[in-house]
Amino acid sequence: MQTPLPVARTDDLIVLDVDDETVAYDLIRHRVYCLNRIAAIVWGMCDGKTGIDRMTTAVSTATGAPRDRDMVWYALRRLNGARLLANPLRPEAVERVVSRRELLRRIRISGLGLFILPTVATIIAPSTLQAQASCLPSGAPCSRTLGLPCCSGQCRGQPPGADLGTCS
Amino acid sequence: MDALDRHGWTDAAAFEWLGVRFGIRTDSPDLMALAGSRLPPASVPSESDHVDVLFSLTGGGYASRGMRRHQILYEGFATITRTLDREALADAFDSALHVALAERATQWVFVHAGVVGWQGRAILLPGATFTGKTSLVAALLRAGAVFYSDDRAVIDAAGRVHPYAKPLSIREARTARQVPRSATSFGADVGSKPLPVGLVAFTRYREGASWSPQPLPPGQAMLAVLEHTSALRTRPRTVLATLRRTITGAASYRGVRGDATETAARLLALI
Repeated sequence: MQTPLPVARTDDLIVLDVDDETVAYDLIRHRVYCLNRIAAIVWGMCDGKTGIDRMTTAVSTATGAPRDRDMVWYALRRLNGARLLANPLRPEAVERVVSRRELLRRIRISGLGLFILPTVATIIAPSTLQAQASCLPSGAPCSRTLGLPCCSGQCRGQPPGADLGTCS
Repeated sequence: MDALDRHGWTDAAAFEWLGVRFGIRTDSPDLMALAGSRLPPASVPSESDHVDVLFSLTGGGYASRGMRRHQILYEGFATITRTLDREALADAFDSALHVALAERATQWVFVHAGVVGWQGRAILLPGATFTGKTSLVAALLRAGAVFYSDDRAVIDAAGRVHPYAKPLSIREARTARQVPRSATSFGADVGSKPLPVGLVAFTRYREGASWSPQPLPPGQAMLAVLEHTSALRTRPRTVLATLRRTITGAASYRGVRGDATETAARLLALI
């Protein structure tokens, strides 16, 4: 069975171009993505009509790297993982995509920079409290390893030594 | 009328900042003074009968049987915190007030960041607590930078940073509370005009480290700033559009740093 051509998701997304990168905010999942130039090129061509060959040519032209379909498939896998495709890739198609390690090896051999590796960086949008709070007040639940520190600097574990506790 | 409104309030005041009106009522003058110490520096008294958000602080002292009374902070009718610790109450009020302002000041964006001015442009130092922001701001001030903010960057719709000149909160030791210290005590001027951002630096202190800054492309820099940005979930369009203006034209770097004085000198050379 032939894999359908990929389509970029547009629903419930805010998309901005920032220089030659693309930043997208997922209004449902409250995640923010940053697509580097190569991932952005591939995503921009995901219209359900453009095939992998044309995408490969576009990426090669943009980077000066030799044509490599695996680079495009890798970008699609990253976009798929970030749920930025309206029609998710079939699992068997995802499994066939070469690893990041293999792509890095090819890039090293070609003598080109890492900039040609497609990347999709992700963060979870913080709440306002998470974003601006400096520290947790006395009595607040805390973790020794995650989240905001206590203003006192002391997160007393319950039982003593546990990761979760209360700010003293 | 809610039971909270029937409480015996003795002090009340209203203020305005960035178009948001907020009220404070307390049942003792010392609680009003405590709340007053945490107001935004440029907030002004408001004569309006209506406020957008109301904070109530009550308690303290001793009950009839010699028991200490809890101090309670309310936002509207919701309890925010209940504590015996006066500083904890002040911290909770500070946090709740600034969350309320960040959510309601719809044309502004707040980033948890230190800010200084240098040669007409701002250096933005976003980061979480305990990453050494204040030490770096202090070192930049000693090197001649102009003070804008210790830990809150207030950004207008054009992407420029405005002064938020509260005293620096110097942590004397890792477990000690923060001690306020004015920018002028470092020999620094305090900024008065909004500045475009020329440099964004994400640094984290590690003892003995030497700063080897890695350049960040604008999109990734924006993503990193967003991790410290208020109201992103509630006003994503405004926040993203504003920060794009802030980041565009600024150089961005990331890296672990060691000594603040050495890093400050190198930062000033980068802008």
